[in-house]
Formats: sequence, structure tokens, C-alpha cells
Amino acid sequence: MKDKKRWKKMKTTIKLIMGFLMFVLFIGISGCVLNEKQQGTIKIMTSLPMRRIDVGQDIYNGIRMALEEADYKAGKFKIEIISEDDSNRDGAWSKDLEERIAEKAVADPDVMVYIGPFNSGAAKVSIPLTNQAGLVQISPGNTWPGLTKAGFLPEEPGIFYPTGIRNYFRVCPTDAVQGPAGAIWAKGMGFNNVYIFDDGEAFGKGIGDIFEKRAKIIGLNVVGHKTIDKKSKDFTKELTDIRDIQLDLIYFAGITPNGAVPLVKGIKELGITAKFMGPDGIMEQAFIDLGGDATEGAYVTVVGIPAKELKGKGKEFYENYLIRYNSEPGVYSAFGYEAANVALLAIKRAGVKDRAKILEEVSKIKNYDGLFGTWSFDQNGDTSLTIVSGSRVKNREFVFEKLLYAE
Amino acid sequence: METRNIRVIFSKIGLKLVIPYLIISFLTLILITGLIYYNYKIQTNSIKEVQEEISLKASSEINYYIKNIVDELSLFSKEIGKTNRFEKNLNTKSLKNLIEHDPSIYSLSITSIKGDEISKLVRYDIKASSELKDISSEEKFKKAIEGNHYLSSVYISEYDLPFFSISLPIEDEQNTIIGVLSAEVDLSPMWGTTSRIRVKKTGYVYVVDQYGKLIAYKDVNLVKKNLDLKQIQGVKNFLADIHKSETYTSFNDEKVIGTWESIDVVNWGVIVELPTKEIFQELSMLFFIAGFSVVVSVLLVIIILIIIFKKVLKPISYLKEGVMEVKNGNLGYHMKITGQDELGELASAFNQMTGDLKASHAQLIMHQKELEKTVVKRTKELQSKLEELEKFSKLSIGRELKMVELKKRIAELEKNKKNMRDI
Repeated sequence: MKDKKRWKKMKTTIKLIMGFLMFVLFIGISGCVLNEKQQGTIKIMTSLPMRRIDVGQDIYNGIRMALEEADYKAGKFKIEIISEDDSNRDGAWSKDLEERIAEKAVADPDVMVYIGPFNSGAAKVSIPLTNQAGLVQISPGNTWPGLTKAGFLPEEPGIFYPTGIRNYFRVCPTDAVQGPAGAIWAKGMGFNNVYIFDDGEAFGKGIGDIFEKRAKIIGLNVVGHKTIDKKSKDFTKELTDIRDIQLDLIYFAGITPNGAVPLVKGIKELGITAKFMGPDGIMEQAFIDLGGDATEGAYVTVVGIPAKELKGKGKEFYENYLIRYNSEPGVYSAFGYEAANVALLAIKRAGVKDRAKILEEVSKIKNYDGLFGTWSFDQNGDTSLTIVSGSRVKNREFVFEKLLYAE
Repeated sequence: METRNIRVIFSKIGLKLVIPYLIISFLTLILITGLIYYNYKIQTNSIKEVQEEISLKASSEINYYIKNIVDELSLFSKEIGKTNRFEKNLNTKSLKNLIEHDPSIYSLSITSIKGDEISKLVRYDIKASSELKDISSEEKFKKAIEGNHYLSSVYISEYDLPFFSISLPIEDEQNTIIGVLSAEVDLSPMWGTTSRIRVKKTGYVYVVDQYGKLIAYKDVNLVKKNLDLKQIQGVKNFLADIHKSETYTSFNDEKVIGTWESIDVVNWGVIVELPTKEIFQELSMLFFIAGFSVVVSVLLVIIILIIIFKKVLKPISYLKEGVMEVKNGNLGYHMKITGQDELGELASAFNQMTGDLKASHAQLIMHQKELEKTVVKRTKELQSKLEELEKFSKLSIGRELKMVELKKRIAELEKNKKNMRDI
């Protein structure tokens, strides 16, 4: 009787010990599996304007294509993409949204690369945040030089890098090239009297000033330079003021949602004969679609070359894009593709899931054989590419005219 | 009961059993502490090596960067001097080439021997490039015209970046100074280097100039405050050229181990510091293991004490109790038998012994009683014999007394007879 009781007690103890061991084993195994899963996946977060305007989707398509070609892998890592939208209902970038996206990226330990934003003003918001987190940021579309270069606005670019490390890179040339190239192109076409409107944003105001500066140096007559209310839908007043001046060119420095369409329409409606020119901020189908006939003949400068005109690798990209999306790539699709490939290469070279190491690898990218030719990142994080091209709206399409030079 | 139990544990045998174990535990603890100390020493040494390596790496990186620019400018000034290209257009073109080639150079100017700028190029600023000035009163001109390479202190430019000026003499083929080449240089890569380099997990690097002012650190805002760090021990060591790794409190009020390396071309110092907290953090695992071992030891001691108490000391205490009972005469005491071991056998033997003892005791009492009876009987017999004897004795004594009396009578009679005769 006593033995039976003892045996029963012993059995309970054995059961308890076995249960405990199983529990420990389970925790260990599940921990390893979980760890393995997290360790093997790297997230790339994109922040682009995805509403109303095409450019965000164009860039995202380029990024997605690069990832698909790489089978969502970089070295030993699985790549996951998180697409965020930093635009409001009107399609314009929002400070709060960009801030929130950057904070989200910074807080997620799996996010190793931040691709975006498109607007330079938005970049001014996110760079200091990613900088403090040591997270590499690659922009496919910011062209404001002050984001990386000294010599444009006070406190820029130093203010964007509170740690002193340069974590921001861009695969597209800047307006330090595009602005002067536009002025030189205008001069080359025989224009003399120029009036400048800008949308007051980092990009618009910036490129407007650069254009003006160069225009004056090369002998163009800058009749006036005005910042418009970007939210206004009617610029009749502003245009009536200049109607009687003999103008050859009206240069709009800004992006499509910030008044480009009512401005170009107003010019036509008021019968102003001056030609219209703008930077790549308006080089998207939405500008033509919304502006209609008024956009016909408009001159547009763009960093890089339209994908259709690319050769070699670029041509291959253009053809694959057509097959994949059944539509023409946008101006910035190629830069999106380039930015994603740069990120993948850096992750592969780093070989570890570590922001600092991946950042270092991005900064080391030299002689990269890209869509626009071979280029390198300089110490400021800028591409060595200086290609700018000029296009014109013909029959509701942007048609490549020529390669432009800043000198 | 509890006090009794404790008393049992700390009884002589209890202590004899527990003390060796306590000694072993104590020795183990000493061993663990020794190991931790040894590890700490190794870590401190390895940290010293790591810091030295990092400071060397950082200083050579910055040194290389600055030296490269100085060499480039030096070569350029020679080129201008030797080819006598003091012609404005040619100069502007060469300046432009140099600026395009090197993104670190923000502006360049060529000055005549009198101090007038002949050509100037400021990056992206065509207007500033065209504003030629007289710089004859400036330090950079004065030093360079004397034939020296002049490197200014670092300053924060209007673009919030670290800049510094370099000026060099321009010499002709006869090595005669004919002008000065000066440049403003962007030192952002130095900030990048200092911020990028990490020493273990929490360590960091910073750069001070020849006066002990902070010129590069991972927190740019602190650098902008132009902090004077010459009172910090690590910086003091650098300024006094004393090469040693030392523990001190740094500018962020943290206790650190620090070392330094100089950037020779500019005579600035790279200071590498690691908060001591991290070293202890690394040791915390060991401390945890040690603590865990102590807890386990204590638990083991308790378990062993319980076992000793239950299996050995308690039966012994029963035995002792039994012996005491027997000592006090309770031969009927029956000891509890707790096991089959030697102590159990001992208890059973004890019980048997007390049983036997009790039986013998009873027998003894019975014998005693019988003896008493015999004694009473014999006593009675003796009493009667004694009485008889007493009677006989009394008779003998009466005769004796009679004899004595008769003798006394005779003596008296004799005396009377003598007296009578005398008379």
C-alpha cells in the first residue's frame, strides 16, 4: 500500500519534470525559429506621393520591378517592401505624413533602407529623423541641391545631419544642374525676356532662384520673379499684370499640384504668346491631361533622360517596364529602379542586418553601372551623374528634344 | 519545536556535517569572484588594445583626408607658380577644374604678392566668385606669404558644416614667392568619421584641435557650442603628449576609459572613450551566473540540511533522548525506529537493550525482596539467640559481682583485723 503511494508520487514528479523540460524546449525552439525569421528579412520602406499625381506610382513601379528581378532577395536576406504615402488628398506632400512615415521606419528594427521621398521639402523633414537613427535614405527624386551641398541656403545642408554622418543619398542629379541647364536652353533658343513664377516650396523656390541667377549671368532679361499661392486655382490676376509685357518665356518653378495647371491654362486663356517652361516637377502625364491643349508646346527640363531614349541597360529597362506594366515608364521610374538596385547591392555587400553597415556600403558605391551610365556617390551623397535633358509637349505627349548642359 | 530543530541542525554532529559543505561553497564563491576579476582584467586590456586600434584608424582616416587636400593644393600652387599662369582666364579654368574634381573644396582664390585676389571661385556662387577683395591683412595671407602652410582653426560655416582654411605660398621657378593660394575646405567627412566609428557598444570618438576645443563628435549640436575640453583628462593627456589609457570623467559626466591619437598634419587629437558602465555590463552576465550559483548553493545547503536533519540528526536526537530517558530511570522508553539504516538498527538494538535492562531490573527487584525476607527471618533467629545469650550473660555478671563484693568484704575484714591488731 505504502509502495503504491510512493510510486504514484514519483510518477507525478516525473510528469512535472518532463512537462518543464518540454516547456523549456518549446520556448527555445520557437525563439530560434522566430529569431531566424526576423534575422532573415529586411524591410525597405518607401515614402512617395501616391495620390493624384503619377510620379509616386511611377517611382514605385520602378522600385518594384527591381525587387521582382531580384526575386525579393539580396544576398542571404529576404526583402520585404513597405509602401507609404506621404501625400494628402490633393496629391501634395504633407509634413505630418512624411514625419510619421520616417518615424515609423526608424522605429521598426527590420527597416534597413528608406527610399524616398520625391519632394525635396519632404526630404527636409525626414532626413534629420533617419539621420539620428543611422538609417540610410536613398531618394529617387529630390533635386534641391541644398539637401546635400553647401552654397545654397543658410544652415543647409548641415542642419539636416545632426549626427554629422551623411546618411542621405540620391541617384538623380540636382537642380544645381537642372536650373542652369534650363536657362542655357532658353538662351540657346533665342528667348530674351523671361518671367519666373515659383510655388514657394523648397524645390520650386530653389530651382527658380538657380534658374534666375544663371539666366542673369548668361544675359537673359529676368523681367520678374514671383512666388504664387500654390493652393490657388486661378492666376488671372497675376497673369493680367504681365500680359502687356513683351515676354518670350514664362518659367514655372514648381510641381504639378502647386498651380502649374491653372497657370498654363491662364496663359492660353489670356492669349499671352510667351512660351511656357518648367522643370521635371511638371513632367508627368497628369500635367498634360489636366492642362489639355494649353500644355501643347511647353518646354520641360528633366534630370536624366526619358527612359525611351535610354541605351543599353536603360533600353532593356524600358522594354521590360512596358511588358511588366503595359505602360510607358514615367521620368522618375528609372531613378526608382536605380535607387532600389543600389539598396539591394548595399544589403548584399553588407551581408549583415545592420543599419550602419548597410549605410557604409551605400556610401562606398562607386562606378555603378546603372541605367544612365556609370556613376558614383560623392562624399555628399550625390550622384556623379549630371545628365539633364529637354523635352516638349507635342500631341499631348512629352517628346525628347535634346540633352542639356549646365555650362 | 522549531528551535529544537535548529538546535539539532547546529548540534555538534550537524555542524560537523554542514561546515565542510559551507567551506566548499565559500571556496567556490572565491573561485568565481577570482574568475570574474580575471575576466575584468582581460577585458580592460583588450579594451585598451581596441581603443588604440580605433583611435589610430580614425586619426589616419582624418589625417589622410586633410593631407590629400593639402597635397592637392600644394601641387596646384606649384603648377600655377611654375607655369606662371597668373592670367585670369587660365586661372579661373584651373580653379574650376580643381573644385569640380574635389567636392571638399568649397572655394579657392589666388592672391597676388600684395594681397589682392586675382582669381576666385566659390562653389555655386558666381556672384561671390566675382567679388575680388584685398586680403593682405588676413592671417591666412600673412602666414602663407612668409612661406608657411597655413591651416586655420575649424569653424562652422553658414551652411552648418565644419570648414577650415588652407593657404599656401605660390612660388615661381626660382622658388620666389609670387602669391598665395587659399582655399576653404569642407570637413564634413571628419564629422562622418567620428560619428560613424563606434567603440564596442557605447564608446565613441571625438576630435579636439590643438587648443583642446571640440571640433567633431557624434552630436553636432555639442560641436557647435565650441566646447573647451582641455580640462578633460584624455584631452589633457593629448595636449601634454602623454600616451596612456586612463579612467576619468569625461565631458558628458560619464566615467570612461580613454586614449588618444594625434592627427599629425593638423596637430589635432582623436580621443576614444568607452564608458566603464559597458565593461560592467559585460561582466553582469558573469555576475548573474555567480549570483545564480550562490542561490543554487544556498538552496543545496538547505536541501542537504533538511536531508541531514531528517535522515541523520533526527534519529540521533531520538537516540539521545532515549539515552537520557534511560539515564533518568525510564527503562520502559521505546525509541521510534525511523529507517532500515545503521541508525535504525542502532535504535532497534537500543530498544532491545532497554527491554533486556528492564527485565533484569525486575528480576533484581524480586531477588532483593526474597533476600529481605530471609534477612528478617535470620534476624529473628538471631534476636532470640541474643536474648538467650543476654540472659546467660546476666547470670555470669551476677556471680562476678558477688565475687567482687565478697573480695571487698574480705579486704574490709582483713583491714579491720589489722586495725584491731594495731590497736
